[in-house]
Amino acid sequence: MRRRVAAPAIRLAGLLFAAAIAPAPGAPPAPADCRVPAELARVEAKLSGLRARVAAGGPLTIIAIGDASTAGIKVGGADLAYPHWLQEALARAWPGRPVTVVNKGVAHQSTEEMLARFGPDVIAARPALAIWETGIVDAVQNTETEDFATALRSGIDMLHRRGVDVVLMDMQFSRKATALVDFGRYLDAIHQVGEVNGVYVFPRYAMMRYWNEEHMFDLDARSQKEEAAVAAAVYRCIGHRLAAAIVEATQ
Amino acid sequence: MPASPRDLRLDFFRGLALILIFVDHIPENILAYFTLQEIAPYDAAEVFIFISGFTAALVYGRAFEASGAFYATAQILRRVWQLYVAHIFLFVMFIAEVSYTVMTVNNPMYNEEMRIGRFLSEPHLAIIHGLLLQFQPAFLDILPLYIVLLLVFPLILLGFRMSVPAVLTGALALYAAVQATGLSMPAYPPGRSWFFNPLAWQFLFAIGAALGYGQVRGRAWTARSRALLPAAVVIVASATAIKMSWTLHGLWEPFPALFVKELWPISKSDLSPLRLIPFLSLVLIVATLVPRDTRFVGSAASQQLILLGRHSLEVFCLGILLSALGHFILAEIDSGIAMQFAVNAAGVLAMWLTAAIADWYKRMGRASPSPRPAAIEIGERREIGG
Repeated sequence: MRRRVAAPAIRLAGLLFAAAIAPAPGAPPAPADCRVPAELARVEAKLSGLRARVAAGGPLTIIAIGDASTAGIKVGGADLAYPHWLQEALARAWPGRPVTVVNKGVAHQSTEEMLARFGPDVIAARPALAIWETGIVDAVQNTETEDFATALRSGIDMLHRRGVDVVLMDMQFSRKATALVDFGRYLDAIHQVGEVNGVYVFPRYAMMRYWNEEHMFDLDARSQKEEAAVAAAVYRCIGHRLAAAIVEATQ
Repeated sequence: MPASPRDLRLDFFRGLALILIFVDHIPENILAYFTLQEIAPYDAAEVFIFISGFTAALVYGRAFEASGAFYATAQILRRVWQLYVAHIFLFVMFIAEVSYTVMTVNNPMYNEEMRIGRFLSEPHLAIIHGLLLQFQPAFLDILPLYIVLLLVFPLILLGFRMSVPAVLTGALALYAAVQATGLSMPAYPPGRSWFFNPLAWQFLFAIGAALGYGQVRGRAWTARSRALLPAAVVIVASATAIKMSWTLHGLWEPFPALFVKELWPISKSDLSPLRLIPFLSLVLIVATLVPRDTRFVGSAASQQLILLGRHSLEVFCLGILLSALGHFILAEIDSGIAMQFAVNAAGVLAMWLTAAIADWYKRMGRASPSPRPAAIEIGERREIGG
C-alpha cells in the first residue's frame, strides 16, 4: 500500500487546503514555530488505557523506545531529545500527575532488534503508554517490508496483551536521504499496521517534510554545529506535537 | 535438430515483466500505481522466475536430448557464469553510486543512521559477501536467486529424465518446509536472510521448468488444464478484487480494504501461497486462453516487448541501473509528475534501444557464415533464455 507517499500532488493539495494551524483541544500549546497543517494534527485512534490511568490519578510512566533519534545521539544525549520535551509538555497538560518519560533509545537498531528488548526495556516498567519510534534502520537496510510489518504487529500484540497502550512514530524526513533510501514502502507499511491494529502513528516524516518545504527548518544544514542546533529544535517540536496528539487521543 | 518456432508468448510476457520491474523499482513513482503489484498479490518477480524456469527447461532440455547431460550442464554453467559476472558488475556500480551519494549527503538527522551502510564501514567484508551473493543491496536480489536456481538446474534436468512428478514432489516438500518452519538462506549482514528465499522460490521455478520440459517432450498439458479453468478464474478474480480494494483504500480511505486484517502482510520472501496460488491460476488462464499462434503477438507493439524479452539479461541489468538513477533524479532534482513521466519514458526508451541494438548485432553475426557446428549454433541461439 502506498497511502503515505500516495500521489504527491494529492497530498500537496491537501496541505495547501488545510494550511491552518490546528491545536488539539486541551493540549498545551505547541511553540508557534512547530506549526503543522490540520491534516497532520488529526488523531483518530483512542488511547483508552492511558485515559483511564490519567483519570485514576497517580504517577504515569511512559516508555519511549526507539533508535538514535529517540536517544538524541545527534544532540549529545537524552536532555535535548524528544522524550524530554514530551515529558515537559505532558506535565503541563496534566497538572498534578507526575509524568515520567523514560528514554530507551538505542542507536542502529532495527524493529526486530527493538522487539527483542521489549521485555526488560518496556514491559518490566509496567508503563501506561509505550511510544515506539522505528523504521529508519529497516529502510536503510532494505528489510523486507512484510517482515517489518510482521515485527511491528507482534510488538503491538505483545503490549496490548499486557494492557499497555501503544503509539507508533514513523521515520525522520531528510531530502538527501531519500536519494538513497526508499522510505515510501516502510511509511506505507507502518501506517498500514497502525490502521489494521487501531494504533495511532505519529506522522513524523510528513511533519518534517512540511517543515522543510516551508523552510521552517533547514534539514540540509552543513556544519556540525548547525546540524546539532537544527536537530535540537526539531526534537523539541516533535516532543510538543506528540504531547498534543497524546492528549487528544485520551479525550 | 529441427528447432520448433520460438514461443513468442514467453518473450512477450518477459518483456512486459522487465518494464514493470523497472517502473516498480523507482520509488514514489506515479506509474507504479498501474503495475501488476497494485492490482494483484503477485508481481513481475513471479512472471520473471516462472518464465525463466520454463525457458531454461526448453533450451537446456533440448540440449540434453540432443547432446547429452555433460554438454547441457556445460551450457548451463556458462550461462550461470554470465549471470554472475553481470551481477557483480551491477554490484560494483551500485556501491559506487551509494558511496557517491553518501559522500554528498550531509544531514543533521541521518549521519548516524547512514553509518550502518556496511559497504562503507567494513568494505573488506562487504566485498567478500558480495562475491558470495550474500550481500544483496536493494534491487540486487533477484539475479542471485536466478543464479542459484540455474546452478542446481542440471540436477533438476537429470531428475526430470527419471520422473517429473518426483522432482515436483521434492520441490513442493521443500516449499512446504519453508512455509511451516521459516527456513531461509543466511545473508549478510549477520542475521539477515536472502530477500528472495531460494528454498521457497525454487518451487515456482521447478513448476515452470516442468511445463517447459513437457513441451520438449511434446506433451500437451493445456487440454487437461481446461477442466481447471473455472476454478482458476475464480481464484484470480477474488485475489485481484482483494488486492485492488487495498490499493483503492490507500488512495481513498473510505473504500474498504477487504480481509486486510486476516491476510496482510503477504510474504514475498517466502513466496506465500497467497501469492503463488493466484499466480499459477493466472498462468493456467493465459496458457489456456492465449494460444501460441495468437494474433496479438504479431502486432507492432507486441513485437517491441518481444524484442525486450529476447534480450532479457542486458535489458534487466540496464533497468536496475536506470531505476537507481531515476530514484536519484527524482529525489535530487525534481519529483514532479512531468519529471516522473520523463524518467519512466527515458528509461523504457533506453531499454528498448539496448534491445534493438543487441538484436541487430546478433542478426548481423548470424548472417555472416559461421565456422561452428550447427548444434552449437542452435544451442547458442536458443540460449538467450534468461
